Amino acid sequence: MAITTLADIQSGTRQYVDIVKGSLSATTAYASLWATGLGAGSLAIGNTANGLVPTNATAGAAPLNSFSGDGYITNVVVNSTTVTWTYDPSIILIYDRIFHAGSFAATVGVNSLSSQPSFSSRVPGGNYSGLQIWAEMASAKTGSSSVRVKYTNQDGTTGQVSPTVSAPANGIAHCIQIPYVSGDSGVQAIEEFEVTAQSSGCTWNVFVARPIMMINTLGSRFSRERIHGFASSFGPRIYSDSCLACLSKGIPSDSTTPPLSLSMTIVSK
Amino acid sequence: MAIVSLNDFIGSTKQTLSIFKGTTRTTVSNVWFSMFDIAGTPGAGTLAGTSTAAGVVPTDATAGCPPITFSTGTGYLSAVDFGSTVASRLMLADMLFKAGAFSYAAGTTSLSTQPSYSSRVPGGTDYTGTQIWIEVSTAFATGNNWKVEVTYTDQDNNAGATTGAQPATALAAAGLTIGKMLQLPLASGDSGVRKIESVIVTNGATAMTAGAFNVLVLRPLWQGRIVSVNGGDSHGMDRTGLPIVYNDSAIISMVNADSTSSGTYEILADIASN
Repeated sequence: MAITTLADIQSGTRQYVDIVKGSLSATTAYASLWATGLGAGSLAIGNTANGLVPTNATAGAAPLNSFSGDGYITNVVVNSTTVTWTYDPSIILIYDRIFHAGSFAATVGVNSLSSQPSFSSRVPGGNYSGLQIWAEMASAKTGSSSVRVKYTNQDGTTGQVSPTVSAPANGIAHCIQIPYVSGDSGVQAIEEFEVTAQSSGCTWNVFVARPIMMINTLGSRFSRERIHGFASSFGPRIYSDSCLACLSKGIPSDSTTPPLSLSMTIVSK
Repeated sequence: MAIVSLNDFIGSTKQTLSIFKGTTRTTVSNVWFSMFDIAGTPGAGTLAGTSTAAGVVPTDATAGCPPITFSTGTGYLSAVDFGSTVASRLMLADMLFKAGAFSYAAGTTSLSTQPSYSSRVPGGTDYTGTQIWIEVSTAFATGNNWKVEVTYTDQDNNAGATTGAQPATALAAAGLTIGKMLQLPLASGDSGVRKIESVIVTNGATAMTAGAFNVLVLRPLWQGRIVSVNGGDSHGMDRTGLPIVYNDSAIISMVNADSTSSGTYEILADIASN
């Protein structure tokens, strides 16, 4: 049943999804929090032939209970649990991880996928525009590495080859968004993942993200809690099997306590 | 059908536009810069315009603009989440008209048979709030005495209005780097523009020897402030003000950095339509 009125929200089923994630080394690049914190997943995706469509049951996904009907976020509370005053502001992207493949070897070459599972059931209205392709460093690196992706675009045109991007100068789990070819705005399938240059580089995953929400923490210097209410959080649809995950940019180097806690209220009906 | 109640908004169709710029551009502190040709999501557009004779009305199908999927009803910018690697301001605008690329050289270019963008202003008649901008598509070289003037038809359909030769202090080549944008002031009493009539370039000594620019008409939709590195914010409908977005709006992003790099930024913009 769709949620179309305030009364629907008030009478809908609420669940509170808590995401508690650990820290990585400080970075100016995005860091995948997939393999950290409570309910951590593994960067070893385990499928380089076809890829997989992760769900709420996949280790690493937010603890989302299955529900019937439509789901929407109505509130997000972000907490920093660190007490260090070196906690800088950070950007946190909450996304539905709708496809991933890896880990691809740390060698120059093309990795072709076939019989890729469809993630169409996780794309509202069949609109593939706005989906994002990310390359995720599945192991630490000491040298350099460059990658690009061949994909089927939002309109079903195959063979689109992205510009080449270089790995960020950081360690394991750091990510870089793959830019699209001019004229493209989304992706229906990943066809190939190519390592174009490599020097003591890393292994890689590739994933497709449907962005849900992007929030910011102000850092310990200003505030350790931010609340994003209905006006800024209600909009993107959450599916019963959504694999909700986070990327963070600018988190601190405090490795003793998880610095990030997200509490999302999801209403479904 | 307009969104006129909270229930209309809750029940509306929502699309999230993902705008990402993956590489930086050298900027000037506190000056607006176009990022239209920078790779990211959607794929890079082309800075240089394709018509100096009449101009064009860009749409969401223009390379570099995110596709908008609703087909009927009225759309509204209902939420914007944003972040950047540098302290800056970000802006979203509907690019209503684009003429260019005009040469750096002195002279007057009169436009004719300009396409109308009336379908992209509220009610088809409310041109108030529309703005004229210059966008550098090829970096200028050599000169230090360059100005531009645009004549236009104003919001009330009065022809022959002028921005005057701008800026007040003529520009040097170093001030006309690629991507730089310059908003031209409207004539006293004016609040918008229906049509660009002509573009007049003054290239005094020491003259420019290279450079090109576009003339844009923009309808601003949203602005946000990033106060520090990796900062940003989330603006709900209470802060976006629900500006109207059309199903063929050519949405572009611009950056005004505190320092000399655009940084890389991400914007998630929700369009609610009913």
